[in-house]
Amino acid sequence: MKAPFEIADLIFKYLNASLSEEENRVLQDWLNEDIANQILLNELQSKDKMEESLQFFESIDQNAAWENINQQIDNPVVHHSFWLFKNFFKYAAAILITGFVGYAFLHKKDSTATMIAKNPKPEILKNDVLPGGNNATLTLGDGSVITLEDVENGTFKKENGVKISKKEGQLVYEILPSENSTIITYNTINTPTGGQYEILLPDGSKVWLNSKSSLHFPTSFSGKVRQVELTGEGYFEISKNKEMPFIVEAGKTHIEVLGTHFNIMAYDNESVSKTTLLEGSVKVGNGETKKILNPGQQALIGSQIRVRTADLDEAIAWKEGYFQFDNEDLTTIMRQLQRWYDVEVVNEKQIPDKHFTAMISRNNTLSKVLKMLEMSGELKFEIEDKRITIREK
Amino acid sequence: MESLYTQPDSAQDKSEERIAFEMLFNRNYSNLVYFSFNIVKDKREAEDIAQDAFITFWNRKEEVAANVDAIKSFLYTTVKNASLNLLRHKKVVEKFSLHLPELVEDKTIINSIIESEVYSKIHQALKDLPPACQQIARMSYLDDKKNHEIAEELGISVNTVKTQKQRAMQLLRPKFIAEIFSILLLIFLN
Repeated sequence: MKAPFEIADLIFKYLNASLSEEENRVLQDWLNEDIANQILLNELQSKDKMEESLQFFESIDQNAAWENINQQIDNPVVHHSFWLFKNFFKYAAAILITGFVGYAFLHKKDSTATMIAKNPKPEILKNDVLPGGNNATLTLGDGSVITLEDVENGTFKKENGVKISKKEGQLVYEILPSENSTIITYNTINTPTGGQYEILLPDGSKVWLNSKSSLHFPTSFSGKVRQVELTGEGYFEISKNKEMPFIVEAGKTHIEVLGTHFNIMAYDNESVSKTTLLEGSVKVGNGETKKILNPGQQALIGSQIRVRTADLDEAIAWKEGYFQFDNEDLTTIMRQLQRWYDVEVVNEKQIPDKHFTAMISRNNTLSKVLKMLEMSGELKFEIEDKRITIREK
Repeated sequence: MESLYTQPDSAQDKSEERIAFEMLFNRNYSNLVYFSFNIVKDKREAEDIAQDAFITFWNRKEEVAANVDAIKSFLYTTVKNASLNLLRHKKVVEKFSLHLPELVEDKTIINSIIESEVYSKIHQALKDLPPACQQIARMSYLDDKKNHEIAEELGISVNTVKTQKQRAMQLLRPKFIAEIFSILLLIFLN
């Protein structure tokens, strides 16, 4: 994706009829990327809108503003604290994790790498906790339990016409063409706190399982539907099969699809489950009502179903290896950290009501993540015996 | 892009830094106000938020990567967060639901940034036109006057009119010049 500043530059040149051929191509690509971009360009050319906007620009008193700013930066003692007070309390403390700032706009993986690299090196807190990783246990049809960490890469099991192999954090199910078994066995994969795993199902569908989650599924699909059960959080890329809808049962949440990409977050300790659709369409239900989601929408499912526009990056950040918070409250953030670092929070009921906007790699140790949150200047964290204490400054 | 900010180690560097900061402010203040206004729908609040963002940046400039795009991203992010928080705060006060408009969505925010940037560039381009150029261009494109009519009215030669028109054309190409001047005129008349 192009930076918004670059696009703005190209649009200005386009309106000014001074685009070079190369620039024109870049602009065309951007227009083809999304219908919303074409709408934006049209809107920008609307006479009424342009007039209104230019009048707005004319009405801004830039000199007064500059004087104001100078006054405040020239009297840093008084105004600095005033500034801190005003922003951190009046605006309920949205903080920027510095070094991540560019990310909010240039949200693609390549820029993330630089963001991570640019992080100030925080000192390590005492009793640091390492991040989670690719850990899971697999329960086979016969009830035996395999710790996947202990298994070598490659095929490790054949049962009822299905071959199961392991490949760097991924579990692969393949149907053996020679054997035509009619027996259906069920497997369950469980990720512990601080674990994650990827499963390639025999129909070609892929599931990413977040920590403290489980997926119960048949080793081969037959009959009218492909049905699995989920606890916790999973991201699904379902391969298309119109004859055999794919059904996910996640607690009270029931999701039915033909072939699509979506994320389900249905942890027991979260008040609602969230189903986020990236591609295709899904039907969600809670046993009482049903709703159909369009791409980019998220269903919040409790006793009722509420559909809203989703923050897609935030919903699947975990799968890409990040924590992403968009003005997220500290309680929700701490729950995510608990699941990934296998820690507890002291006085869990009294977590300060603060909001954070940040993007942090899940590969960081816990203390690095907490240090970044500390950069808001408002909170102090301590870790002891895998327990986090939060203090307000 | 070249670095705007380096670590100052002398008083002179400090004043240079201040000049760079002023340039940054001049080029970006009104677009940030406009951007914030699109979220908070209150001009005074939008101005406060944009000013706070510059002060925040000034106090933390060493932490922000030293290129214009990173600085602009920092400013926009700061303004976005402050604006959304203000909105949330207002909503709570008004006992409305916490459900926020689609603005929270990244795409909308990005498009709103693009809009702010484009309009601020147009505004800047208009302000940068030399006065004589502006006047002649306006008479020509808005009032649809012929070169000799303009020359007569202003008491200048037809050649001068032609040159000024060419300059205006170079500065603002024809695609939107007529539209822009009709708008400008309205603004000046108000």
